[in-house]
Amino acid sequence: MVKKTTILAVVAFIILGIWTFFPLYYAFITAFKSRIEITYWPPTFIPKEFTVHYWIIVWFDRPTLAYYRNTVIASVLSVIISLAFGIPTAYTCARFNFRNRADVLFTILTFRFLPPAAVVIPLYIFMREARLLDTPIGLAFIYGAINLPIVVWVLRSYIIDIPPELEESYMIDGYSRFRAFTDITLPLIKPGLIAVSLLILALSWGEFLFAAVLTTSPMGKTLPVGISEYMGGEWGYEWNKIMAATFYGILPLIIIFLAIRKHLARGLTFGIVR
Amino acid sequence: MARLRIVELTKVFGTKKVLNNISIEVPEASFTSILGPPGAGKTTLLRIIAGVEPPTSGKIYLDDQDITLLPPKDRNVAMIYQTFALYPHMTVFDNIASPLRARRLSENEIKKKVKDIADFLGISHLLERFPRELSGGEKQRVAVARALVREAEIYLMDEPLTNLDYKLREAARAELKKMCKELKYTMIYATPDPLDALAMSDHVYVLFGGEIVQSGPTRKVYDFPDNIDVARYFSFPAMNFVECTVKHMDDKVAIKMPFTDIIVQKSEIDISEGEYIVGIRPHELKIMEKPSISGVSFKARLRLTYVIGSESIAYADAGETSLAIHVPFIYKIAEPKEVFINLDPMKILIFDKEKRKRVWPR
Repeated sequence: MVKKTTILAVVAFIILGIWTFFPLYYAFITAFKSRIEITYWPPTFIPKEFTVHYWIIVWFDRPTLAYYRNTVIASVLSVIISLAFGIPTAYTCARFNFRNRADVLFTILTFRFLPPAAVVIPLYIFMREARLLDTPIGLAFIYGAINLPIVVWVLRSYIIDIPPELEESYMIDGYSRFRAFTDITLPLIKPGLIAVSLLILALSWGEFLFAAVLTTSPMGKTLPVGISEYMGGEWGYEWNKIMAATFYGILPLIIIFLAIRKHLARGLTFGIVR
Repeated sequence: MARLRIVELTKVFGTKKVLNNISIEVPEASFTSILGPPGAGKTTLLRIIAGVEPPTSGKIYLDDQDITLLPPKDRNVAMIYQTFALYPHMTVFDNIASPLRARRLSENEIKKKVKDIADFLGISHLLERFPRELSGGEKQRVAVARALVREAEIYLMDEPLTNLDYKLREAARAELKKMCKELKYTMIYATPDPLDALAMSDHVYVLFGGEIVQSGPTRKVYDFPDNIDVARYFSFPAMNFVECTVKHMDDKVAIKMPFTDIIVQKSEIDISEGEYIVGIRPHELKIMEKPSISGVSFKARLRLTYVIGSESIAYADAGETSLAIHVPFIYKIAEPKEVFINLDPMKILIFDKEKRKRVWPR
């Protein structure tokens, strides 16, 4: 006999599955529909006139490749920048007892509370003066900075979970504190590093507001901004192109997440139970 | 091997004085125990000696070199942690090799040294494994191997036996003692367990609340505790304490306890009149069917016995006072019964009731 709770769990999973995957499915098939079919009511759930035209055309009617390049540069670089500043900060806040440590940590967190719209104008002026407007490198610095609190808070909790005796023992073995950090702590927080890197990558990859304001030329835009240009232009809302381009856009993230999902699951649960 | 000297060391964490004016001298090739309850400051003391924690004030000398401010890597001190602190992402081989690699030995030399120490400790078959694949006893051996693989001036051990089960502890005690003797190592051993200190150490420092309350050769500290706290902590089984009044009668001294009086010549126990606390070790009490002619015998009601291996602990009520008695063989009672308990007056300890200090034997 099947248990009642098992049936309930299966039903819950089915509902959750539909909730999650139906929008994706509908977006996916929309990219195969013709311009006319999109407007059908009731909507079709399997395309009547199946076409791959829009999957090809999105690469040519706009500089999608440049959007891609900009997105990759901005998000990968932002991961590197936020880790470069976040790891030392997290380590210091986890291992050293200094005055106002709690205040420092809270202040770092408050940067995350800030509504992005409040700083976008000053940042625009700043970027213009720094001659970083319209460049993915400029965006990378901003993404790196706004995501720094996440890196610090997540990694700090990972580092706290590593017993300090391990580093001490390594120093007593005859190594410097820096070597203890690179040889002992860094390898042990690897799941956390992977998890937080992916999180930052995904957040930067899909960021819209800063990218929309801080890029102006067609060649300087990122994917989210580029895709948005299919909306309300001379052809109205080109849903099939939007969906095709969006799928191209999220494909690399899906592949990366699938490839390292084992590490990710461990990373997200590690530290909950010792 | 070296001699360690700590002079007036103090450590303050925030507003809390964790170590207060500690002075310790550890002779070369000796086994010294730091005995104290959890939270007494033992681990902090070892961490300061190892150099991973700076002292607030005071000096540490290795032979005659001042090492107070040296970083740990320049001290050549080895330490075994209570948790063993094995590096989880390294194999047993790499764990043991770690201090040798820090000294930039050639890989061949490292292989040979790791193999030798692994053979010595019987862990050669574990070298390819990771710490998570080891049992508690095996981890302990690996931690010992990592400390012993290099020739350190001092070996610090922070309760390395606490995480082991009873049988392993017995075996490990004998092994550590043997190693210290054979290899002529200088060892400092922190433990909350009086048995560890008794079984292994030449010298003992008793640490309570960050202060050294008594120190000296282990046997001497055990036999002549300076005060009631040391007597209570450093005794196995725990000592009995009884309040008493001392009265002088001509050339005799009467020690009046609630359940019996001890009357001795002044030449035997010479203390002034007043209120005192008598300390009686459980193994100085004997259960008798009839009163004995030697010593002092008194009536008591035997309430409970329990057997530990081949010996027993009995609890008896002498009037209102409960006494623990150590019996060196298997001794069981079916139900409470009246017995006589015999006590040798020359084996008692007498403490001042107010100051809690030992007044007899002097």
